[in-house]
Amino acid sequence: MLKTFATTAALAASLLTSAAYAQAAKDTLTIDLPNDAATLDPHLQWDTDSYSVYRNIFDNLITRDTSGAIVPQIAKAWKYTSDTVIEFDIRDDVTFQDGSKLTADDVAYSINRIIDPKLKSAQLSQFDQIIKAEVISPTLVKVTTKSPYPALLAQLVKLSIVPKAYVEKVGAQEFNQKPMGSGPYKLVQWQKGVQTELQANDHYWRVKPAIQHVIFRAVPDVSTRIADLRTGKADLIRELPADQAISLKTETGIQILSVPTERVGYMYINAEAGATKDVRVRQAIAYAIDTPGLIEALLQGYGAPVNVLGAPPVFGYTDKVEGYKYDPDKAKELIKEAGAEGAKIEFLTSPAYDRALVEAIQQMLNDVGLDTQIVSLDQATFLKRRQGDAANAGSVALGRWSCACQDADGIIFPLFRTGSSWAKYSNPEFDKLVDGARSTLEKDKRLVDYQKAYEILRADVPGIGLYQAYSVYGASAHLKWQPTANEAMFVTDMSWQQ
Amino acid sequence: MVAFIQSARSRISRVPLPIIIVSIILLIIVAMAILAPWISPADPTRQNLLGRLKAPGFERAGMTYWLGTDDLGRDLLTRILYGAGVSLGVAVLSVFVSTLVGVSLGMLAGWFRGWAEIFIMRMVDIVMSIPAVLLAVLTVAVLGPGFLKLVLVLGLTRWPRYTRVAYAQTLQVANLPFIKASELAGAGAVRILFHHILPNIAGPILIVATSEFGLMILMEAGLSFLGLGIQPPAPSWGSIMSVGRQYVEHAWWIVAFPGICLFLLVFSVNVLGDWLRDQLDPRSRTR
Repeated sequence: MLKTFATTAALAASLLTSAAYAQAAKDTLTIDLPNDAATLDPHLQWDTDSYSVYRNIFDNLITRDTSGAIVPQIAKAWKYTSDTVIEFDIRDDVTFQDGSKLTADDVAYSINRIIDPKLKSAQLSQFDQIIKAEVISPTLVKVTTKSPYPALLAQLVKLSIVPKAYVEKVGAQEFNQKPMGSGPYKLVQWQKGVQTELQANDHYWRVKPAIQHVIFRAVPDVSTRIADLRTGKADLIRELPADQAISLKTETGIQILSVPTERVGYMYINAEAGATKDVRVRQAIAYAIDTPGLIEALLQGYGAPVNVLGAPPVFGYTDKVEGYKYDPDKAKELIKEAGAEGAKIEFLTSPAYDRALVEAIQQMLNDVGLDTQIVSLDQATFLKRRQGDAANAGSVALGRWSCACQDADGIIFPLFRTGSSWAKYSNPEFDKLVDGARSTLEKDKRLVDYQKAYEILRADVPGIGLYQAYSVYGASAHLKWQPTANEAMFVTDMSWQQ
Repeated sequence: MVAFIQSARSRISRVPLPIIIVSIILLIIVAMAILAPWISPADPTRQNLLGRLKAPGFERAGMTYWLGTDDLGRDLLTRILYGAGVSLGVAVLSVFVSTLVGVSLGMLAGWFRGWAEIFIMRMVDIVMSIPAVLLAVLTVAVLGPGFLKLVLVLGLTRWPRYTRVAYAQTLQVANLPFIKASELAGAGAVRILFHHILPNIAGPILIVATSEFGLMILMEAGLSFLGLGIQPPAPSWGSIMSVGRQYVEHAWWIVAFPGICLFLLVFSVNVLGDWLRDQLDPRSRTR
């Protein structure tokens, strides 16, 4: 009771000091996310909801501005001393939330911690091109990569800096329960599966947070999130389906925020097993799908057509490679040529994917003479089959891919490079191009390689890009916020408005 | 068996009105299920992306969508008619499977006793201790979804209830003098079980079956609701409702109509089952 009173008093005091906001200000911002954060240790799990919570507690080595350009955060500047060595200048005016100073030591520790196989980080594959990080001076860190690695900066955007002394003192378990960083918000309480409560860090070095208190709640059911927004229980909700967004648009007091993201909705087509082993059948499938129709009817315009498997915010995306136009007659012809009329197409799916989209595509494929059967599985079984043996991986499946790194290396490399668990396709020529593009720092050469790689994908069709996904949020009309292409949710970018 | 039917027939003139009403509802639903291909106004899987989420009474190209359309522009009335067949089919077949398995095992345990009894009845305890829905979800995850698999899964998770009843009844009947007599007359186990015991335990089993029938319909709807039952685009009431749930605010009809049908079906079966139980209960028979 006394504690509650103290918190309220502290809040009231801080409100009084920030008189500028007093008019519109509520002291608490409540955000409904579809899921709870998987971990609050920023070096373990990663997904959009975990990011949304813990990236407010920590600072990143570098970050992206609202236009998507990579800009300094904890690192003031950086330079390549060779193709595989890069040096970061670390700020010397940043303190952690416990008052201790953030130094190059913490930065090197953070990098070495996440690449240590013993930590078993789910993010390891994003950072495993790094061999080591060394402290040169209290403000200088040297990072060495295995080979020239062009996506390094894009990956480091996601590296949270953790306090070495604190992590070593409390241990990994406790650190996950009670994370502490140098970010604009500190943890008040994490009720697993229910909500995470954060409070503004008044000594934050970069800006003064406009919102004092933030509560992230886990609300898996869309209708409940919408009801929360309507009744004012939540000020911001994530993952709003298109149909609901359209109907909420007209309501007063609610605004729909949406932004084209780097995430691409795609369909994988098994090139190594079943009827789709024949390239003509794969091409027929690409011709059979009316993507503009799907975007208009099912995504209600919250999606944009793409011609390759990528999206405009991604480095390596090209509009010079032609996409497949909707042409059912051509598709029928190809299927006839391949002798695949009535061929069985197994369409794997799970509750994570839009059922309406799956059923609509099923009908389009059946209309050109295939026999498509939907197989819905639980998510774990779905992933096991999709990433397992080609013979058991179904003929087609949908996916929504984002590497949160805005680089083609994070998309077509894991999806189609021979040997990747997602790839049910192998083409040495394609492998050579994507291998080359990931080990040179020359941007122009990379762009040329990716364009060639996309040309190959167009001919071989081991998958097709369907649409650039928009992230759609519902928000109180009083919230001022501009969402970004990488789906980040930094509360410091938000404020109240009249 | 004969005695049981005769005693039921003597009561038919005293059937109360509510029972007649629910029987008619059941007959209508059965007729819907059987006649769906002939009385449906449209194709249950034909989509029309331009006619999505239209309200009941919507007219287009000379066709009236009496119950509106779903989120892919399919005629809801047609899907409900076809869905009736799925819901009833799964329920009838799975009750049949679980009765067959459950009663056979129960009679074996009650007749042979010894190891068979210990083994079967402990299996019953084990299976009953696992929540049925959880067991069904796990089995579907392993076997994969589909109509026949769903029937098997539901049938094979619900047999223990029949086993317990069949076992207890068999124990009782097995000690009656006429069983001893036929045993002494040289009748084999098969003959005794099927000709003498089964007819005498059929009443209580029928009661279990009717109460399970309503439950099977709900389990099918539940599993289809979770996406683990009937696979799209085939309609089932559960899967239609699961789709409609996310549109309930601006397209109430998708969830409302199959919901009403499901309610009527389960309600009718339960009322009828209760009444049958009263009719067949040995204690109420003496009254």
